[in-house]
Amino acid sequence: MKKILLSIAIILTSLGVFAQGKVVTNYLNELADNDAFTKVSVSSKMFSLFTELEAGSEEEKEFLKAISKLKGLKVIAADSIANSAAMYKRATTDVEAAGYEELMSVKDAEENMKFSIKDKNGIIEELIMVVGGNKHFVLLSLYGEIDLKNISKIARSMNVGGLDNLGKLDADD
Amino acid sequence: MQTIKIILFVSILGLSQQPLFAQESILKDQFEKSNEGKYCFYPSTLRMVNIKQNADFNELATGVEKLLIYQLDSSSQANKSYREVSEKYQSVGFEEYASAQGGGMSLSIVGKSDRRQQEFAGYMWSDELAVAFYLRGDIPWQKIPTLIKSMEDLDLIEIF
Repeated sequence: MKKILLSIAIILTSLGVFAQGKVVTNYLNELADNDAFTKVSVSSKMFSLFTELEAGSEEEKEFLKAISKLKGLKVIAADSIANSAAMYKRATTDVEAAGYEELMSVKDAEENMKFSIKDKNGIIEELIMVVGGNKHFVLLSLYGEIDLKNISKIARSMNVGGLDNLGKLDADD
Repeated sequence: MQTIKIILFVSILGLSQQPLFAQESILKDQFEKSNEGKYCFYPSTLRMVNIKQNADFNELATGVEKLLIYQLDSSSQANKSYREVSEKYQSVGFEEYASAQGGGMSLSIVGKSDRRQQEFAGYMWSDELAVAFYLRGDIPWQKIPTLIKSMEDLDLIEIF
């Protein structure tokens, strides 16, 4: 009986892990051969290496701890596509349909931006950012255990195009 | 060009530990017949390409047991067969660490580790640099931030 329960627990956990980042994964598959889009994927193995770094200050320790809890990052970005507005609309619709909760949205003359999350027991398990407008499009999924307090620091350190927009979340806290 | 080379070195130097069962043969089997360059680095040769003898770089190099780099020939670049490197390593238990495709570049890093060994392999393709690599060693990971901070003082011999 214990083995059956353990098997069920493992299967459910695995399904949960694969479910994370599913919206972005669908876009990654669809745009795999489209060179107009840059596709980036960073796995939990890479994030786990951060735990080996030496932290000088308390702030650095907190930051590295936050990084080490991330399980993955997927980014799709394009700087010069004609249909960026349509892509933005479609992506935000797909994110909403997948059950993500809107966290914040920003609209200006240049571009639109929307942050959505999926949480469990008060812990954010996935953060999705969609940016679109002015021939520019970004779809980003950051998953694992996400600490919003450190999100802008993580964004700056990764230096991935579009990810710096996550800093706006911190600024609005 | 220099920046890309530094990033490549740091990326692959920063990913390693002690090996027991090297699996460099996968890379060798795919690229040994290539007419392009093959480079094999050990700690001593890595220190040699470090013109300014940057201490942080040398400290990282000390942990490298072996770094094997093949320049990608025109044929493998044209048919993108270099992408098979990561697929082949993943078929023997290596896991994906990072990948990037599009925007004029392609990058993949896969790795395998347990308490006894750690190995990394992958490729990097762009307009300026096209290489596949395999690395094993024991790098002091905690020194990577120091090396990044001293990047401006880093000067490596032009080998690619």
